[in-house]
Amino acid sequence: MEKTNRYEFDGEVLEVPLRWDEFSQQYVEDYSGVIESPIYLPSGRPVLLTIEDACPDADMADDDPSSIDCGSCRHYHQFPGSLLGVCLRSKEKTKQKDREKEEKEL
Amino acid sequence: MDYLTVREIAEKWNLSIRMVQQFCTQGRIPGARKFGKFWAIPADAEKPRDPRAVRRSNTQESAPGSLLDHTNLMPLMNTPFQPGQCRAAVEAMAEGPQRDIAMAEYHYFTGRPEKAVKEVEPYLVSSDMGARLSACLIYAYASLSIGEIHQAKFALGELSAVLTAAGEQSPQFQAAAAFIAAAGAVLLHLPLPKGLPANGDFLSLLPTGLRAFALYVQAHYRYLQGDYAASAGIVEGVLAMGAAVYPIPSIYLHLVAVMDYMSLKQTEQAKAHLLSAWSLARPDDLIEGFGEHHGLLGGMLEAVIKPAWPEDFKRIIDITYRFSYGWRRVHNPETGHDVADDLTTTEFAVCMLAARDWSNQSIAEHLHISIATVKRHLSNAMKKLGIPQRHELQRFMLR
Repeated sequence: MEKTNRYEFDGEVLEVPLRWDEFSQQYVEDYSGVIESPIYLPSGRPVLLTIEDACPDADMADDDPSSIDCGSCRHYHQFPGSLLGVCLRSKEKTKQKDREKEEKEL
Repeated sequence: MDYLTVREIAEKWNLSIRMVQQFCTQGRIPGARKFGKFWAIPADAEKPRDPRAVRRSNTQESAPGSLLDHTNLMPLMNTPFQPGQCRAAVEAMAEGPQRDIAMAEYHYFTGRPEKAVKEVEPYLVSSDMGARLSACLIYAYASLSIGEIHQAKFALGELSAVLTAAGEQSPQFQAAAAFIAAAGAVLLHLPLPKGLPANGDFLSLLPTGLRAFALYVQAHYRYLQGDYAASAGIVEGVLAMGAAVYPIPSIYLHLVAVMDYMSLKQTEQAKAHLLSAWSLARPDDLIEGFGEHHGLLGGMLEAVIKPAWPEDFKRIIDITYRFSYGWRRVHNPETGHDVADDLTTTEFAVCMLAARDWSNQSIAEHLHISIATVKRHLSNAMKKLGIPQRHELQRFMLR
């Protein structure tokens, strides 16, 4: 059975696969899936790495010039112990995704 | 009675193996016995007194003014030569300490520290202070590069001791001791030795090539203070005054300029200095400095050297791994380990740029890799370092 880490947020569940890392001799989260293409919670909220370059809609938590990534944005919720998190500034984006999905199905 | 081997005693006394063997041969370790080729030394033997202290009390060898002829003080560093003529410049020197030290410098700067260690060992206790200072500096760095940490620490200790004793000596001696001690400390990011004179007090007493290298050390120090513009200013000034005829100091000056301009996010100027350093270094294979500075160059080696000279790049990276392994064991005495040891050189380069607020896109463009690859390197590194957010990288990255 594949090993995973399980995160819950606002009633939704995200399972992140683990891979064995020979160098550190431990299981670590495998981010290859989210690096290559974004993934979404059932609600349509995007799951992003904290290190993603911030989007134009970002609302930084401080004025530090080093705040350039999703991890520094007020709308980003990072899962404890993980480099993944959820973008909460996504109501509009959720609607957009729903529309695109409907169009594909038609 | 318990006996220890020469290696065990060397580690216990923080000396080189060769020095312990010399003490045995000279009969300065009571109870030491030779079995065939090997020495057995009583475990409770006392470390012989510093021979310099004995000489100072008994002879006039160290009287003020008895030193310093700069002939044997880092002679290759102080020699102007055309790129491609480094080895010839060494072989043109007179036989004796000058050529021996210069050959050791040549081997060190071309990435052959094992040879450099052997060549300078006989001069670690030389009465010629120029040769001895040079030997200690080369021995420290070369030993660090081959993982002989106790040897490196011994040589660094000798440099501090000479600096302490230099206060009683001639201004030229003090200048030489200060120059070597500063180089030994600053470049390993160690605290400056106590009693180090200010630059202005000794720079003018150094010959031109060594003065240029001393200013590289000064520029490096300013870089570590975060004063990148001042550091770059020192470099540009020294190079403008004709230091380029001394290739070895010039290579190092250009490399610190790369560090400065990458920190100032002026990548074109950084690239220009890197190519200048490379044009000086490549004809004689003087690649050691590039490996030493890899972590501070902001991925420039990956961006510029790797695509055009991939085989040379691989050799430089081998130097980087070897040097940084020893560097950390001198720099982190408590644990002997720094978790940043676990990073590959590419991960380190990506992290250095990320710690300097480069976006993933900028890093990707600079290193000619995809954004996905940048994210992969960065996320791997952050998991190895155990940090949850990008801004915490600064704790681990060299400044």
